[in-house]
Amino acid sequence: MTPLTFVLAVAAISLIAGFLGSLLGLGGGMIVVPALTLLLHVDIRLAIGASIVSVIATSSGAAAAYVRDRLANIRVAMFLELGTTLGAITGAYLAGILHARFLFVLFGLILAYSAIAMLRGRKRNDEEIVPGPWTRVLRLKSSYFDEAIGEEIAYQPVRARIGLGLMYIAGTVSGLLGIGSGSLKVPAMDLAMELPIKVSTATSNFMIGVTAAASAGVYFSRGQIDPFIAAPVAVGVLAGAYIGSHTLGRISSGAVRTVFVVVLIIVALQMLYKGIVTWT
Amino acid sequence: MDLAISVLLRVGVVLSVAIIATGLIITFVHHPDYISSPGSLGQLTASGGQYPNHLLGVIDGVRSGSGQAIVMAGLLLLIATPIARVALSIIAFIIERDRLYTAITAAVLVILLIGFVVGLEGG
Repeated sequence: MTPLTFVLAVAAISLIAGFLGSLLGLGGGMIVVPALTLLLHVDIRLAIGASIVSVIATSSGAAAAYVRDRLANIRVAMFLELGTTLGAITGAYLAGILHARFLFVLFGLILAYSAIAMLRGRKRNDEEIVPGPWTRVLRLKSSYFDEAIGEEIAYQPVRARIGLGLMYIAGTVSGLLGIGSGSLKVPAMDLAMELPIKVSTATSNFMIGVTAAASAGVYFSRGQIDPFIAAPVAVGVLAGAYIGSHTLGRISSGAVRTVFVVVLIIVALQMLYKGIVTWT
Repeated sequence: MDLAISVLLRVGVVLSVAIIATGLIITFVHHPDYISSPGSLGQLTASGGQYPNHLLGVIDGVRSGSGQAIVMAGLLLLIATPIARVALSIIAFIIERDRLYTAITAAVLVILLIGFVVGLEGG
């Protein structure tokens, strides 16, 4: 493979990552990292650096549309970013200490857990939960226009404090692994705070760029952001995120949830396999 | 406010893509062998490669016309875009006289800047 074909291959993979990532609020890092390491044999530390770039690109690329269409809830995002940014700094420092093989297994386990949580979430009974004082004081209540069913959907987030705590953990994981940890943010907003799935993925998308930017400085100065790898990632992801952000409004919520769970399971299995095989 | 944030994100993204793409093209113009020969790929994608990893190095590289450094400048602009978005939100909340969210957003920006600056310095 010549450097040119490498760049084209990375850009093509990143286009898919940006598309899926922007739809699912995942940042695309979870596709870029395994694709770079498993298919193109890039060092895991450089792949993580490239995925930080992918996360920021997905977020900024898609959020422009999500904010305009009110799919992303800015108040929920700003409040939860308190947790994710603090966590991101914690995680970025832990990453220098932990071993790459350990990261693979941890990455895989986190994804598998998220997938199970989302499957369970589908079956939850819809008992009415009264939002606490935090939801009222923070004015988190909002609505969005769902293009797929042609209706304005009003919603009230619940359990804001638990959401904030989970975001600190999600932020730490994303600093550790160089993923946007949308895999944890989306289930937290869906299961704990009970936001509509499209609002969860769009708000996650809006937030992940900030979380990743908080730890990007560390990766840059460690030399983990290789321009030759990160350039095609950034360009490909941005193109994919643009397409994805103009698709989310039009597809059904059930489809978004199903695709989210399927993507999580596939990537979780890949990473666990890689981690366990290299371990022995 | 929503519109301002949306426009800022779009401008940041378009500018950084343009810079990154320019840098990438310059890299291939300077090294025509990258297009045909597979020899140099291992070196380009190995840990500890020849590219700047501090701000002064990027600035020097851009001045001397290095494609890799121009790419890096574009990447740094891309990384700075979400941080600029948070800063812009603070201004918007101040204009809306929303004290609670001005405070929340200002706290987020401080944490972000600490993380970013400490990261650049120490690594």
